[in-house]
Amino acid sequence: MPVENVIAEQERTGAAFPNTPLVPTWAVVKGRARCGADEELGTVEGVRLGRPVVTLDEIVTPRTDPGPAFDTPVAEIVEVLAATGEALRRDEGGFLAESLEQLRRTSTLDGRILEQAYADLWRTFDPGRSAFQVRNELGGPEFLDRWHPRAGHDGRVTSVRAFPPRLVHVMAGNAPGLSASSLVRSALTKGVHVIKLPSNDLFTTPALLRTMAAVAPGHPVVESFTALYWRGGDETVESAVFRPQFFDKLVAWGGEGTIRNALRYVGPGFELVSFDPKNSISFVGREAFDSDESLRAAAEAAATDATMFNQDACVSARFQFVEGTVEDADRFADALLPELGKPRRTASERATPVPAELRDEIDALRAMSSLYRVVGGFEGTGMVVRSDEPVDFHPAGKIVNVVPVASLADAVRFADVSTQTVGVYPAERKSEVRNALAAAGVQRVVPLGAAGQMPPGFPHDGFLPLHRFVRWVNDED
Amino acid sequence: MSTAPPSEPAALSERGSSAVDRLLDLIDAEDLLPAGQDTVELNRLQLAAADERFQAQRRRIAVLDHRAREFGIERIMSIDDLVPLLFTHSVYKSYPESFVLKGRWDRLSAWLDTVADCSATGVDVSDVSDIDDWIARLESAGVHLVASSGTSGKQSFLPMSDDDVARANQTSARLFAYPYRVNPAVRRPVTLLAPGRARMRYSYSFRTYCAIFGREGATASLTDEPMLVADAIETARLRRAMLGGSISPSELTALEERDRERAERVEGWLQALTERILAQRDEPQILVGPWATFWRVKEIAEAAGVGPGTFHPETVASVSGGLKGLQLPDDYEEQLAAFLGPVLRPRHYAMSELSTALPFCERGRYHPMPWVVLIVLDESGEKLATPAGDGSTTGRAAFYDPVWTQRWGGLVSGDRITVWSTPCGCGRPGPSVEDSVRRFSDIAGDDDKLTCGGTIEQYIRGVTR
Repeated sequence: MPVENVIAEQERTGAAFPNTPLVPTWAVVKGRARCGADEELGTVEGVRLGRPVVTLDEIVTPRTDPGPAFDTPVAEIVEVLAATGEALRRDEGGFLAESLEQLRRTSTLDGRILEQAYADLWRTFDPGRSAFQVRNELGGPEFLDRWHPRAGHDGRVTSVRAFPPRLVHVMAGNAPGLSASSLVRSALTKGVHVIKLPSNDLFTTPALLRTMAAVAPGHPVVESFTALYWRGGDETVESAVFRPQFFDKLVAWGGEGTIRNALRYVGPGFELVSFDPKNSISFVGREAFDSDESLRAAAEAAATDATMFNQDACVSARFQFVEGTVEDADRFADALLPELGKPRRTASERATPVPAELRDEIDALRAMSSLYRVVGGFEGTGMVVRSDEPVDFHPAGKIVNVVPVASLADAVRFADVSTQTVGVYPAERKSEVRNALAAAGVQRVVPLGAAGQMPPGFPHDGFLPLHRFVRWVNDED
Repeated sequence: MSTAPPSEPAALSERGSSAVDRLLDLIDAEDLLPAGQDTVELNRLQLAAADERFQAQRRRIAVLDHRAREFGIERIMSIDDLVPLLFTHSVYKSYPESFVLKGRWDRLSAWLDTVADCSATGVDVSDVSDIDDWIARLESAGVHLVASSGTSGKQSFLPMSDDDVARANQTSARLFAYPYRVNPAVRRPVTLLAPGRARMRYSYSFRTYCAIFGREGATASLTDEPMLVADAIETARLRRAMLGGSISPSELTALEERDRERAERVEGWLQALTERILAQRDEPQILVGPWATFWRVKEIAEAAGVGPGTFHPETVASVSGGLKGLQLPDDYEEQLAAFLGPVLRPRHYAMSELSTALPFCERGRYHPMPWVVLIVLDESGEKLATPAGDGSTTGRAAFYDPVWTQRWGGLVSGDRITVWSTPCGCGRPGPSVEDSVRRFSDIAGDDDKLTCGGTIEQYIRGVTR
């Protein structure tokens, strides 16, 4: 039965009934894609999914075997990626369309956001972008392609190679773009890659890999990739696979449970590269109140950052500190509210309605009107809570907590090691706070409204990803 | 099981003037769940009682009134009207933590008055020194707070008036050991396998059991040392200090030292408690407590060479609670049952927020008492769940509890339950809950739904444990 029909059948009958057929999903084993529903994968957003059988022996490459792309020149990889980007742009094989359709049914994100994200996937494969990443994060393709000699302070020559790694990636599924950037980074480092798919996006990575395989069938880079699902923490898989015999590093995206699980296996020869779970905040300087125009601009920028992926990403701002009085903060909140309800490239008009628990907590704050002011409603189009210090709950689903502060410097104390991005308005005032924010643990300071525009080829979460991916090996004279 | 004749169900709506009073009169009924009860009439009375409380309480509970206005609900005529008005547990911990950390007791009282009807602001708290002092001050003014903390460490406060406490104690007494009967004329040892002085519902029940069944000098709890809410808050404060990077290594070391000392003290209590329980094995005694302590008692007793099945057969062992992260062997239930032997082991489904537990019947189902309205919502807790079509409905457990006067009785739990509307094999009327209750938070840990969004708590926990 075609996949669409199986899903339709499940929707008609209610997927909770165990006798409905499983919706098949894709796995990729060393570049070869297979689709199936031999085993039950689980129920995601009400859809019962299956998966093809993949044995553990199939997914590992013993250390004695060099990876397929170890000796492929970077220039060639950049070309394959560029061709893949072109194919994605046109979606020649229809792989993206198929994947998007399935993702739509199993993702909590709005279909329009997913569509937009899919329409942008090809951009990540841009050859200029790939070349820049290699140059800026590793020093240039020469480090990847060969042993690069350099004389030390005493004249002794040491040759260094950014050696291709063996990586197991535990992917996040809250933004399709992460799959694309991860795949590009992995391809550029030439290593052997096993990607554990997240249950909230089982589809994007296989679709990208299938596209790449169609563009360059049998190419060593294509054969370097394996992507499949297992339940995070499944010991039968992880204790067998998370071993230094097979892998150098585990690359983990978010997911506290996953990282904690993975730590059990980390030891000499098996290292963790963690894109830690993060959150983000905004600083709004008093300049926002210079004119109606500046207030509108600041509010729009603040809303852009807050609503990234309907506030379900690390870059989405949740707390916004406004330099001024309580009245100023209220003016800002009033300007912000309508902006939160506007559809944007990465946000829908309406996020999922505020969950009941959060609603109850906000209602109680609302009742204490001398201390709090709550504007907006619970229907998912945005809500602003003004308070004299940050609220205890974790704002999500287009809820922003606006807190007045005496100065931007005074707001630095609200940043900590879990803070990834601080958006600042106006941008000129970033320099005033960046040292203190960095000292507090912050990783990015950006103009307000630009939180989503992370520049490729620069540090991410405090490190250069390509630099961390590879193994730096010496050949010493 | 004794089956008393139906207690004039058709006349329910006729007696007295207040629907609440008529409904709560059922607590005194000879047979709590009489076969042949007129459920249509009962449901009508339950809704009338809910509406009566709603009309009175919305004027005095700001959060309830706001909710009602938001959803345009003026009268509770059906379960559908009730659903949007149900409160999650969050309501009772919705105060800003800074009120407690900074000792703003007046603000904390003001908060309590927005979520409940207890006139806390009228109580002088100007010289209150800490949270336990605040709780004691309110208690002396007739506001009894049950405090509990979730995984976040933030305390929730559930208020009860003197009358509420009396009524809840009355239901505890009525349902003790249900469906077994324990003769109050035979006074016996009563042991609580938990600290006796805690701001918990079980402390109230324990005192009730002691008063009804306890023999003087033979009632005891794990310890009489008061369990301070401030201790729990201190942990939260330390987390906050870590969050700001202002905690010192010596503070951390001191905390670890404190934890170690406490563990030693608890071990001493457990030894003494086990000795006491074992000494009373030859007579009928009452043991009440959570799995964790029962399990430790079993371990200590076995280490001392006590074999299985040495307890008097009329011993009542009421084991409660979830495992809360305990690592027990898979067959822990069988192991504990073997250790206790053929004693009476009543079970129930209970929660701090609910006045009346749901006792477990001979056929393995939990039965709500007729004065408690059991509602099954979908997972989101916002709509009624869809029945499966076979007489069962699975979803989030919610209740309307008419007992409480100081707080709104509508509540949404964190539990996933399956309720059967078809009659239970035991013959009791009304819906029954399958023995498959689980916390939603324990189901399908969302490890796999990875996102890069995170909170500082994830970092802090990594430091402390």
